[in-house]
Amino acid sequence: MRRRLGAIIMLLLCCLALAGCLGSVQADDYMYVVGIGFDRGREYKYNISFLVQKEVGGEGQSSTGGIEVYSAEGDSIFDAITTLHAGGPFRLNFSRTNTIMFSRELAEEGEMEQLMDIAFNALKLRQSAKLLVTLCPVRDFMDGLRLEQSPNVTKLMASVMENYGVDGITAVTNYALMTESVRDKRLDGIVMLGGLDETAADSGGEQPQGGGGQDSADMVQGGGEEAGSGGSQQQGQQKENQQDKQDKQEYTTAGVYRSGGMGAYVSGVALFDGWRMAGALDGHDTKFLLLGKGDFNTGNITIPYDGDRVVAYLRAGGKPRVTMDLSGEPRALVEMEMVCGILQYMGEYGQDEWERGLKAAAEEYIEGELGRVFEACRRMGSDAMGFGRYAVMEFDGSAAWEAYDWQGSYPGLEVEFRVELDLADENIAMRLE
Amino acid sequence: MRIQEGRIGRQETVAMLCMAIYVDTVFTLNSARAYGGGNSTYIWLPVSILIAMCAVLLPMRAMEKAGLHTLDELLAGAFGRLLGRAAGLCIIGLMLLNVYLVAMVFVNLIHNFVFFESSHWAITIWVTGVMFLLCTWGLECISRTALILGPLVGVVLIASLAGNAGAYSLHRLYPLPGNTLAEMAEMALAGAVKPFGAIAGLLTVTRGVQGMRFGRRACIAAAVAAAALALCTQLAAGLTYGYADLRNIPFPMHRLGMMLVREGYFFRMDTLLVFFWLMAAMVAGAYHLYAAAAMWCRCFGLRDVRPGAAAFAAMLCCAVVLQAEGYYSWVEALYGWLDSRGWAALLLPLLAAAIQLVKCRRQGGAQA
Repeated sequence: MRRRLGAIIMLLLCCLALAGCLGSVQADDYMYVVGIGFDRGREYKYNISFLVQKEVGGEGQSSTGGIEVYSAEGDSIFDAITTLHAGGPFRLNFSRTNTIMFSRELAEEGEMEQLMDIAFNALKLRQSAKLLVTLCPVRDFMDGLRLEQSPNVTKLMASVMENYGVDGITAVTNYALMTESVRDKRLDGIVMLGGLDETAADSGGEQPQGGGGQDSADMVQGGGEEAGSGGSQQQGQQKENQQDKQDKQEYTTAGVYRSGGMGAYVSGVALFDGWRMAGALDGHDTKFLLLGKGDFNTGNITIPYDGDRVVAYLRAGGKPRVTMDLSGEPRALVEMEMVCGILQYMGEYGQDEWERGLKAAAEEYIEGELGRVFEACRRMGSDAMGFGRYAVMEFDGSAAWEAYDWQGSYPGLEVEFRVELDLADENIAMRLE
Repeated sequence: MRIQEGRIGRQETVAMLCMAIYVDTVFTLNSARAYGGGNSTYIWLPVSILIAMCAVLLPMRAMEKAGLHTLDELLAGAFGRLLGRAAGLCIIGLMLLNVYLVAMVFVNLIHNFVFFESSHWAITIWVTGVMFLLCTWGLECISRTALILGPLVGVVLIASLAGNAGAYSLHRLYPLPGNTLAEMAEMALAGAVKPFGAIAGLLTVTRGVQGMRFGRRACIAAAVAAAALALCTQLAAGLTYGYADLRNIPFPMHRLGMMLVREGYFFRMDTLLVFFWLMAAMVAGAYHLYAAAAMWCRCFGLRDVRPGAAAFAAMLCCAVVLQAEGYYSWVEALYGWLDSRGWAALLLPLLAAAIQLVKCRRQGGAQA
């Protein structure tokens, strides 16, 4: 009797599982948002765009790939969602959102904090969503993601990760990492930097209407040969150079002419001081930023040597060893080891070229570049290399650490970089042959 | 007598107890207080479990010497019938407090992270309903469910901690050790009250666990295992988030994977994992509910555990919903009380054990 009663109860409980049949939702009732973008609005505070991944494959595929961009103005993301729901036979679903984008204007005004101060769970947004700052209006950047041959927008993110891991030209940060940097105050955030190269876009896509190229022109600062990137601290000479670059970069990908592929590109990083964007670094400088931060994996650099150039392949040999001295003005010694391979040698070379001067020249060049990038970050007030992470290790109590005020001390930090390169392949001549 | 105790083996006892101790200490941690002045939870939380274990082993010893079988007998023997009942009520309160905190944390968690549009009432009835159902089926049912789910939850826990290793960074643990020794000692002592509530439940069901000797061994094994798991979990949380971040995160286990930039095996498993932790919480809650109802029966001579369990479950439902309906300040006050004076609850059985041991010695001396 008891068993029978138990079985009946279990059977009744199993019926609860059928609740999924009530209020059923068809798969196409939802539009899956893969990216959210924030621009300054005209009528309301923000213009909020939603990058939607449509079904790919099959006959229904449009010439713009599987991407659709919807946008609406509002004072918050919820206003924009409500407006879009009112005007479309669908509901936006954010469970697959992997990127949140901000225009440079909003990032510089520190509005990311206010925009992100929302109940993530109410939208089913994950805190691991990646962040991106665009030099152009986000709406234009989203439009620029269209690619005839590759309608899957999530592949863009895979490509960015590849750039991060293999080339080191950008750094991927998510919301959780960003909030950590703001709350813990041990380092400042760095966020992927995106831009738009209108002329490069594949013929298949609809050309964007905004002035994204113009925006991208004056943004990428502190590039390879330029000394430092300074935001408001730009010198007169640099301004002239910027103007030259602006003319050149209007329709380029971070200063380089390109054709084919997507109009949108991701290269470099936006540097933050708390929630406020303090400046930007280009792809070249980002490599050295990541080297100094200990996040660099692999990448190529061009080293000036003996009146010519050497293209070298770098691979990090572990995390940098950082020694901090906080007794007076803060000082840091950063020692790092890297494995170096020679990819191209543009001059006369000999078997002993590495020991004869190339090693020292390469080390000196990397140390110089690290120092230059650090200086640029320091001028912007952004501890992007994360020296606070090492400073905190010098304290044995949270009260003492909090009383020290790392952010106040950081502008006085002096850093010495020491690089030790190890040649990956001793037989350069043989390999180049 | 429908105490529904049955007889369970050592494995079942260890699984049930370990699950209850772990859930009570790790999942109901008050983040704002625990990480307020730094992070040393990976030190003091396991220590608090070991303190609670010692605080239960002493009464066990006294009960063994005096030939007593359950906690209510110890309390009545030491304090007299009336005061013993009052002390028993305090222990029942402690057990109910444990189940309340567990239920509250998970109801809020499920509401905020999974079923945002569902009401607290619906989720509370769903969570406490299962606890009550398990409770009415008795100790055997609870412990065997724990034995089935325990290894599964344990493997998932260890895998999720290992799977998120890519996000760990040593600098987040600094400044080391996070708190001063005095602060750590204070928090360990205050924190011992929650695992104590879990382990003290064992003293109400000693017959069911095959006697005091088996119970003691199971208690030690479960406490050591739970302390080790708590250490791993808190260390993982400390390596993933700095203390300033952690004090704003009510349930760090749910957000362990959020720091990962590259997608791994557990990247989108956080919501699924919540249900594994929920299973453990439901078993732990059922055990607490059962222990409280059994203690109630023994203190007041009732013969059926179910009416008490039903009353406690109903009270629990109301209290969980109340905190969501604008009375969360009560919970904060409760946490504040636990952190400042909760350790006093440990004194009751310890005092009873000491009195009983003195009585035994006197009786032994008189016989000699």
